Amino acid sequence: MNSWMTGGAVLLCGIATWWDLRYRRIPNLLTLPALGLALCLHGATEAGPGLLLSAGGALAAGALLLPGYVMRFTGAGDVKLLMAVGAFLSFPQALMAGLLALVLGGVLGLLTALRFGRLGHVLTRSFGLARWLAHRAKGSPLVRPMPSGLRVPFGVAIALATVLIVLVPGLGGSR
Amino acid sequence: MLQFAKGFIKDERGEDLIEYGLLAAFVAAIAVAVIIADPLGLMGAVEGAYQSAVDALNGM
Repeated sequence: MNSWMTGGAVLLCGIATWWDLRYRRIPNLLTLPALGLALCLHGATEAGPGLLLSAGGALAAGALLLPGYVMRFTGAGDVKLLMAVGAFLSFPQALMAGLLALVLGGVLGLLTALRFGRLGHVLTRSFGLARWLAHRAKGSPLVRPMPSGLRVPFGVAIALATVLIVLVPGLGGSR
Repeated sequence: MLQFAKGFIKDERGEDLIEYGLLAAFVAAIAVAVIIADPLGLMGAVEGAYQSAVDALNGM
C-alpha cells in the first residue's frame, strides 16, 4: 500500500465523516468519483494486478455491508463509502477494514444507546432481530420486530477502521 | 435487479440501525478473532491463493 492510497483513503474518510455527522448522508459526489479514482490509481501504479486487487477490495468490503442494505438496516451511502475505501486499500486490507468498521460500528451503537439511556431496550430488540433473522433463514414466518429508531453515523466507524488499518502495522494482512 | 441497482445508486443515507449494527459487530468480531488467531491456518491459505493470483497476473 503506498502513501497515495493511504492518503486518499484517509482524506476520503475525513470528508465523509464530517458530512455524515452533519447531514447523516454520504453523497455520491464524494464516494463514486473516489471509487473511480482509486481504481485508476491502482491501475496506473500497479497495472493489471493492482487494478484487480483494488476492484476485489471494493467488492469484498461492499459485500460485508450489502446484506444490511438489502434488508434496509444500512444506508447505501455507507456501502459505497466502504467500497471506495476498499478500492483505495485494496485486497486483503479492505476486508479487514470492513470487518473492523462493523466492530467499531457496534461499539458506536452501544455508546449511542448508553447516551440515550436505552441500552437494555436496544439489547432486547437486538435479540429479537437475531431471532427474526434466524427464523427468516429457516423460511418460517415471523413478524419483523419494530426497531428502536436509534441510528448511528456508520461513516465514522469506517473512518476509524481505516485509520487503524493505516496506522497499525500488520493489522490489514501482509502484501 | 435494475430497480435495485437504481435504488442503490440513488440512496445516499449514511446511518445504520443500532440493533443491526450490534448483530453485525458480533459476527465481525468473531471473524476478526478467527483471522487474527487463525486456528485453521486460513490466513496461510488466503495468502497462498493471493500469491498465486499475483504470480499468475504477473505472468500474463
